[in-house]
Amino acid sequence: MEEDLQQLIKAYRMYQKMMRYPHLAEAMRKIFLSVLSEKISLDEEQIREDALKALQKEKIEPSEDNIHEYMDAMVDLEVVNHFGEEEIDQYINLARKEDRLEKLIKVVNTEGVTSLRIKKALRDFCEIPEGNTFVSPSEAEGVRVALIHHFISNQLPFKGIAKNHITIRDIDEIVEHSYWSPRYPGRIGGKAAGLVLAHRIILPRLMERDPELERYLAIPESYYFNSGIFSDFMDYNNLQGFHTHKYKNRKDIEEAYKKIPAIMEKATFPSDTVDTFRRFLAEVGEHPLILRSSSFLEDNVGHAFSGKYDSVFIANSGTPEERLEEFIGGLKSVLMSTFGPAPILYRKERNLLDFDERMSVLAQKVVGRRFGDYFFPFAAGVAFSFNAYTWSSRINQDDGLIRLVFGLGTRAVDRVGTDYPRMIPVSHPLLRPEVGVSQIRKYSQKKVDVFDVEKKRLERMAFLDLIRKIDHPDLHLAISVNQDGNLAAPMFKGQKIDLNRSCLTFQNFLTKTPFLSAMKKILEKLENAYGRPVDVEFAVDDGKLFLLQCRTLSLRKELEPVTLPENIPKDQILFINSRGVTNALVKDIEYLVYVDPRAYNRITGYTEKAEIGHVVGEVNRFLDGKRYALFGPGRWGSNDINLGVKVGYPDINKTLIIGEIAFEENGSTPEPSFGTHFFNDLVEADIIPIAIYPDQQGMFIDEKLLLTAENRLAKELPEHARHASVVHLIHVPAATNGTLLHIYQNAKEQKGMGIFAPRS
Amino acid sequence: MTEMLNPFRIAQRELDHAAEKLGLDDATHELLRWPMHELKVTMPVKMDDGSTKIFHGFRIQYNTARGPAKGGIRWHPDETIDTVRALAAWMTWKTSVVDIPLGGGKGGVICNPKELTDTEKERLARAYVRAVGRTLGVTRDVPAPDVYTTPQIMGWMMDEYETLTGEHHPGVITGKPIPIGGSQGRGDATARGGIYVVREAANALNIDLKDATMTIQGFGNAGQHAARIGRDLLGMKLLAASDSKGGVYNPKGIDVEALIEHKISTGQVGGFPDTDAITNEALLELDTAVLFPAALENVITAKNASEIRCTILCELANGPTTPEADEILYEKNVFVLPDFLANAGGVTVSYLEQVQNTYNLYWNLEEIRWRLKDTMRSAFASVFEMSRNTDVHMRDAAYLVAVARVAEACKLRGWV
Repeated sequence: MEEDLQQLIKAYRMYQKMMRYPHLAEAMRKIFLSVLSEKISLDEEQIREDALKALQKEKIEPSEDNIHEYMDAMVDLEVVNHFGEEEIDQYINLARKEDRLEKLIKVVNTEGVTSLRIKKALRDFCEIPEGNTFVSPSEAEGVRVALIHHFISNQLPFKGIAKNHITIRDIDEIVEHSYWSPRYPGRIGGKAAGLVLAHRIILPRLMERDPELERYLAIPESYYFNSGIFSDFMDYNNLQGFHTHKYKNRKDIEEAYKKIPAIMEKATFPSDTVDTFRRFLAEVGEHPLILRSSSFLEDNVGHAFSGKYDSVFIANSGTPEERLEEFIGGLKSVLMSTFGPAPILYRKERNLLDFDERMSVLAQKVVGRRFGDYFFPFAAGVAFSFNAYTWSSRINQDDGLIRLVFGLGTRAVDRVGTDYPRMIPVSHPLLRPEVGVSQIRKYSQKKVDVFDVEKKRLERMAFLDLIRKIDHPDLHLAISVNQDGNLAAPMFKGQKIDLNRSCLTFQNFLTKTPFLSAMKKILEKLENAYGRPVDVEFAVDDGKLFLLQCRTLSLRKELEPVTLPENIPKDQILFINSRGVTNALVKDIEYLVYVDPRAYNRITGYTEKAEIGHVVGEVNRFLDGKRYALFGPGRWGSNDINLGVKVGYPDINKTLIIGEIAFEENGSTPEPSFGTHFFNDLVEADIIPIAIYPDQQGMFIDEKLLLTAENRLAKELPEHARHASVVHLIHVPAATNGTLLHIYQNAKEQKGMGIFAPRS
Repeated sequence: MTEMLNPFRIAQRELDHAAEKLGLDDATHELLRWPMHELKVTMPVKMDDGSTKIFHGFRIQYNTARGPAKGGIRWHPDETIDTVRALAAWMTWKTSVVDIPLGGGKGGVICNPKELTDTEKERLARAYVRAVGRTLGVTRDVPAPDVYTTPQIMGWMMDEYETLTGEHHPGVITGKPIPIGGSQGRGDATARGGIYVVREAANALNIDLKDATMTIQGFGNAGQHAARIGRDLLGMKLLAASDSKGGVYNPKGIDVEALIEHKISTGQVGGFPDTDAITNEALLELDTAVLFPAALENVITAKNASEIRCTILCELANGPTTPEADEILYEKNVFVLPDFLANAGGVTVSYLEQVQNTYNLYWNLEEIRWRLKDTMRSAFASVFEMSRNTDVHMRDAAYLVAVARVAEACKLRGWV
């Protein structure tokens, strides 16, 4: 009796719920029927038979209407008898979802539909709890593609990958965080799209999930100001003419660009857009923001556009009007960079000039914490899924490379001259080319980028000055301390640290936190999904890893694949190398400086050998402004004069290539290994190291040409004429009938060559 | 490697020169020309990836007439037995010139530490001790850190030795981290020893160093300590300092602490406020009371020696002056404190570490410093006296003192 009552109440509740959507009752019963058939093998025919029997028993005419009425009741009853309330809700919701999806399909496929209508239809769909019953995959895919096209990106390669990872609900979340103009459609642009996609690849909603990543990876709070806002802004201020600047020549583009700031200063956003900004600022509160460019072309599969457009930090503090002014100023700066010479020339080189480039802005809360006036994350950097910095054959290129810094990642992204981010080969994270305390300290990061909230600008501070001023709770993860030659990371948090003896090594961070294993997985997942190497920008703070940006091409040009020329006649090849090759393409080299290794080895006196280093320095200064390549014996920059020519960085800083040649003599080959003492200097200065072992199979250098070509040393630098038997200064066109030297290096194939060909 | 540049041949030539001046008998001379004991070892080491790599190493006990061999262990890809032999010979003369009761030794492993992870380094360190352990010991041979080996590696090696013997033997190796038997005062020992001999030299030459200038080429660890201790102990002012990227100069003197701070935070001395930039070459030629070459080999050569204008040249680095330059400096009356005297503070404190380990009693910093001071003072006195008595420059004099002491020990033992 009690049981019957319970079933009755259950049936009553179900019916109530169904009757909230009377127009969907039929669809719901259809779903019920299919699950009854699937789960308890009760099919429609059986129910029909039972209904007929019941009608007969009650002596009711078995008209179609009556049969249907009985069948509906019996289906409902069977569902109540066999399934729990939660499961029944899922089936009811599935009918609702299918209904809303149908409407969504109609809306997204209507020509000229407004974003607002799509947003409404999307919201209607997504307000139904997700549950674990799903609409038809093919229909969902169609909607996903249409939504991605409308709100995110119209780039085909992007859509092809994104539709497999980004769900309808993801797009709803994006739209919830998007701001747009009521007058113009628009998209969120490449960078924002890349970031959304990367997050979904790493933390999928539907596919296999990874608890470690779910715990450790956090998503920075992001908001999207879509391109419509900026198209509206341009029209509102009659600035449409800017879009044709790109067809001018370089000089005119530069001239025109100089005038833009004054025009932008005066330009204003429509008042409803300004209201939107006000609402946004009220919602995010006072927290430093980074406004990242996110143009249509940017960060899309195939063209990195890295660093071509501006990203602007804003303090976002003060009165609401101050914040609004700062925010609008930031947006204008980002927008302005669309018309800068650098991106336009970049597009020109890649045949992208005719594309109607539009700018969107990705506004993110800056990852970090405030210490005094300074705001910064514990660490940040760039990670590459392919490692071109393989100074040891033990390093596995495919495991990737991380460039890690303390503080804001601007320090890792930019080439920083005399400072050194921590370079971490993911396959061997603790392997580093420096050995010994002084080397490690020398090649450690000395300056930190922070955002000064009071001064409202980025500041570059000495690391030690910074950590003396503040008390950073995670410092023990970042530093190692030199105790009488023993460089060791603190054993525990709170250990007394002599800051004067410390330097940034990230030893504890790399060995005692989930960072490395998480990053390894992230790079692998992204590369697998994109089908090509990726690089990501990230920040780490308060025990969480934040992914800030993801793209398929690196800002480090050596990651872009270089195709080696084929079928080059031997007399046009200067060298072939096949060990320790990093990606590089250097064209139009006019001068060659060759320190003959055999002649160098014949010199017996120390002073005389040291003099060669001096001559190389003089030649380097002489060739300032010319494109030249330097080749010589063994290890450049070695302290041991027998291992290589003794030079300092200023003696070689103008060369494009530094070649280390090791001939086999007396049965042993010296290991040039790129003179890793100053390899970091070379990496930072963009000088390409090349190692050539001419006596090993597959490698070659045209020694004869180098030794017989006209040596201009005596003519150009007469004071060093007596060294002409060792140092050769060769004018390439004069020695090769007017051609220049072009150098191709492919890291993946571990092969490179230098060839003589006409100017490119 | 050509014969001219073979380090062991160079070491032998230097000995030949000293033997001739001392008039050593042939047998003693011949005995001192060769290492007394050489061990070549082959070590299999398991790598992190499961593979096994075979490493080769050496341990040379060059001469133990004056006491157990003493000398570092080098890890270097270009290590050769001749380099290790030469360095073992130099250690013999170095311990002798400062008159500590030790002989000379050296060890090396052919490996590239840049390509080894920490766990692999530990296994290699332990494998080396298992291979050469029978010849080590506080009464036989006491290694120390050298090129690319660190206090941590010394700690692993000591632990392996103690595991082999089943006893505590902290004195089997020096340069250990302080918590497991390392000594106070090792950090600035080389620079401090150098300053002590500079002070002795100034006394001997009757020079007042108060407010006199010092110039430091190579503002790394030793250079920074020298600047600080030179200021504190001798009242000198820093005229100029440099590193591999260039130097800074101020005739009114440079604030040492602020410069160290600047070097630590920026990685270079360049750009330090209130100074002019100066090249490394020009810095060596400054008119200064004391010049400390503290970084590289062969920076003072026949080419620039005649331009060197310091009164005292204190070689904190190894081999900053070429033999040709030595003669020119001597002619110019530049007073050279040769490397193996000037930078012997390091090995002296290593010896003091060994003594403390044997006593199982540890001294404070003050005690280490006065012992170091006494040792350096009497070492200087012996060398200076030899220089004056035999009318040779200080480097030759240091060789003569050192070789004579080793020769005497060999004689007294009845070996020759």
